[in-house]
Amino acid sequence: MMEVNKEEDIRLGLHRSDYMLDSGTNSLLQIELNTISSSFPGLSSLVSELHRTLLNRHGKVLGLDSKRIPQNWAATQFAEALSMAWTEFNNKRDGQTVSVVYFRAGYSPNDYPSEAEWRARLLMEQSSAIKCPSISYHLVGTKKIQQELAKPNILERFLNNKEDIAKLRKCFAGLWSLDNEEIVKTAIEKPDLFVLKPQREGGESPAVHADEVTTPMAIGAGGDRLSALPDDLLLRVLHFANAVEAASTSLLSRRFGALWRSSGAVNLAARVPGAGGRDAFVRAADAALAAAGRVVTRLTLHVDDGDHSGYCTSMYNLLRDHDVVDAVVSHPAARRVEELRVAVAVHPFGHDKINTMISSGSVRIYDIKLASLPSKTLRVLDLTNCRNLTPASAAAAATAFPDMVFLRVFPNIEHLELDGAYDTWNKTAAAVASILHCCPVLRELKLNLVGTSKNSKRVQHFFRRNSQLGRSSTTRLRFPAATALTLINCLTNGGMSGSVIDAPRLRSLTYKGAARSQFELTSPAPDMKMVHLHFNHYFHQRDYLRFIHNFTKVKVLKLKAEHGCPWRILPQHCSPRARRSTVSPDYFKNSKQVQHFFQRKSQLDFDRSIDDFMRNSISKRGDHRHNGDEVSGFIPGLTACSFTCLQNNLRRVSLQFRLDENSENFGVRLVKFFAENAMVLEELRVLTVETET
Amino acid sequence: MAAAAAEATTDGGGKMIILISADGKRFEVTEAVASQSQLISNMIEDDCTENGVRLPNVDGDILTMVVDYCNMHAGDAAAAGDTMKASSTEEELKKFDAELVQALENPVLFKLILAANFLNIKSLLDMTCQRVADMMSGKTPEQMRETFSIENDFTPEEEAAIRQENAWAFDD
Repeated sequence: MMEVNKEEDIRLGLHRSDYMLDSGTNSLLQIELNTISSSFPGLSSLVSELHRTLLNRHGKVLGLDSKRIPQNWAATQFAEALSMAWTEFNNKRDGQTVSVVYFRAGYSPNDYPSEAEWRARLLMEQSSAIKCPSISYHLVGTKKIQQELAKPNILERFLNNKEDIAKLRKCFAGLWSLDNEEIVKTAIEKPDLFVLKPQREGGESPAVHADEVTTPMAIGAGGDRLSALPDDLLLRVLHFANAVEAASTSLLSRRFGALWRSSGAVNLAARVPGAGGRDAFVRAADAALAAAGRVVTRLTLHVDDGDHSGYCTSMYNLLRDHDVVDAVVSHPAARRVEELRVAVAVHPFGHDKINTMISSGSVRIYDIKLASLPSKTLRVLDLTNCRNLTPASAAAAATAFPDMVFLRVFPNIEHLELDGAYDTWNKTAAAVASILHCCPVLRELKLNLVGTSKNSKRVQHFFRRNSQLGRSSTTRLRFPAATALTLINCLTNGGMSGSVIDAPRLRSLTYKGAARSQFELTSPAPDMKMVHLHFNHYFHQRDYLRFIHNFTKVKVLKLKAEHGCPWRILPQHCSPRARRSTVSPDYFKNSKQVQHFFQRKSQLDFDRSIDDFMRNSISKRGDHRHNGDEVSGFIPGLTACSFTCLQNNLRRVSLQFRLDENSENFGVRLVKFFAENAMVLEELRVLTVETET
Repeated sequence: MAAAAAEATTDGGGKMIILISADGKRFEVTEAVASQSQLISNMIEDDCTENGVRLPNVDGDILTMVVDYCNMHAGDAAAAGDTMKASSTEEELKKFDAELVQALENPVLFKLILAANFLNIKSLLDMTCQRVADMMSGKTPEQMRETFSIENDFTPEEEAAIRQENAWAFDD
């Protein structure tokens, strides 16, 4: 309903606020607020009458006056409120429109045995009828809300008058959830101080209890021991623990007991053992899954081959049976997994053997079939070095991931060469592509594909496959819900003519690869905050400009260039030449930070370029290099261009370069140039690296 | 640092918020930094941080760590983008995080967990819980008891029953 954001003009609330007398302070404290099915007014009216009658007869003996009992009109007032709602709704014409919905049920899970009941509730909620209560009023009645209201600064959100706030707070009873072990302990010791209340109206699970004390939840007290953490936090710890260790906690103490079974997570770590590795792994996995008992929502598999000699054979033993991961993932207990992470750590040592095995086709590393994934419930899929993600025939196209919000596929090319595994790669690409096509709510995508130019053809294949315009050579990727994209080595210098990314809600982009002129962000992303660009190929100024024009409104742009001449492109953001081509005059109007990094790796190019500059500079202006104490303000490529935009908008600059005889001079010049010319510059960071000897 | 001070007043997102610990220590942070706490982010949204945010459940020394963490990660949350800290690279952050949790004594670690939970900073909560899980890694129940000072309150019979029930985990 929050998504629908429906306007409710008329609200009807029939509420009942319950109080108990606190004998310690002799004050009335609120125990709960009923907002749904508050059907007791009829009763409370009668109870008032009962009191009156009793006092009329025996008041003198008790010394109480029956006239001082306030009248209780709740029953009639409730009826009046209902009829007033009907009047307000003001549709007397047809006898069919429902004007007021009063809930006598619908507050217990038992009232919603199937989806049909939920749909009915949604229908009522979406209708124009006046609901008593509306869903928001309904939720206000939960103890959780009262608990939240008791937190610091919360009442201040709703009330201005400090006196009112103080009065209101004074009648709050303390509320604690049963997660708070300290409180539970105290309650067991002094049960008369506490009242146990169910979280929701009519529910049978007692989740909250209240008493008369007004101190806030005692977080921190007794927190110096692990056992003192509340259950939900211990469960969170167990959520990350490996299956064996999680199960071992059952032996620690009664406090831990069977807690681990509720963590909903099965984390399997295999250190590849000697012989029989595969069987041991699968056996342990089966046992852990079976023992997890309840529905497993998080499943992780982490396989580390260890870094010892002879591991290759063990690795081989494990990987030979390429259905290992698939077998675990398709275990019945894992059918409702929401978070699946599979990673294999491959140490550099012994690659050759693995490579040989891969190319000979005897090893198919970490085969996962799309069809085996719990696609309906999967929200997070994180795969590292699982390159055999295979679509299971044509059926894969129909595998939808309606809830997937996070997808990360990181093959680690530095450790494994793909030579000879062309088919494998293609299959993985196709599988990822088919996933991308059917996750409408994907928020975060991280793809790290292949880093070597040898594989660029395969990368092209990947994106061709993913292209909605199959015939065209332009790749079109659509991410309607994505807020963060990481594309590493996904688009390299190849034969592709371009890629178009449609991500209207994008907030951050990390891109590593070539500066491709045809890279285009179709839909403007108004909330674009952060762009990290890392160009690892040589690029032309023209390509750079066309690439960068996608990000005119971005707040923070970080650029790292391994090759090329970053100082040439920097002023182009707003040079007249650029303006004449594709770039708008408002270039980087909103940018707050532009950073350039020069990597050591590119030092050769960098030095060469600087030499060029120096030569240039010398020929034009005379030799400043030997003019030790004078640093010229002339920077080729910068001074020559119009600098208005950067001059007026650039606020922060970070420069990193290596100090050596040549670059020192250039670096200092650059620093001086920014200091003198960027008029609104607030911060200039300079990081110099000593020359290696 | 002059530049850092200037930063506080310049940009739209640079509004400052005061956090007040249980023992009355005050911390001045930018909205971008503080919003990493979902609790405070909600307060900011509802405009009720005017007179400072009192955190009666968090001690000053713990809050110092939380603020350090949030400062470091401010650029990480893409929404921030206003502080120079945004230039921390992913590796720097990883290193910072690793050093932060590894240096902690048990009681401090647990207090940090409680604070991260109360302030609702998911990444910090995950990181600290992961640290405890890592401390369990490779340990027998006996070793775990020692690490976390847990008293065994089972009878030998009960212990035997549990061992049998979860034999798969205890068989080596």
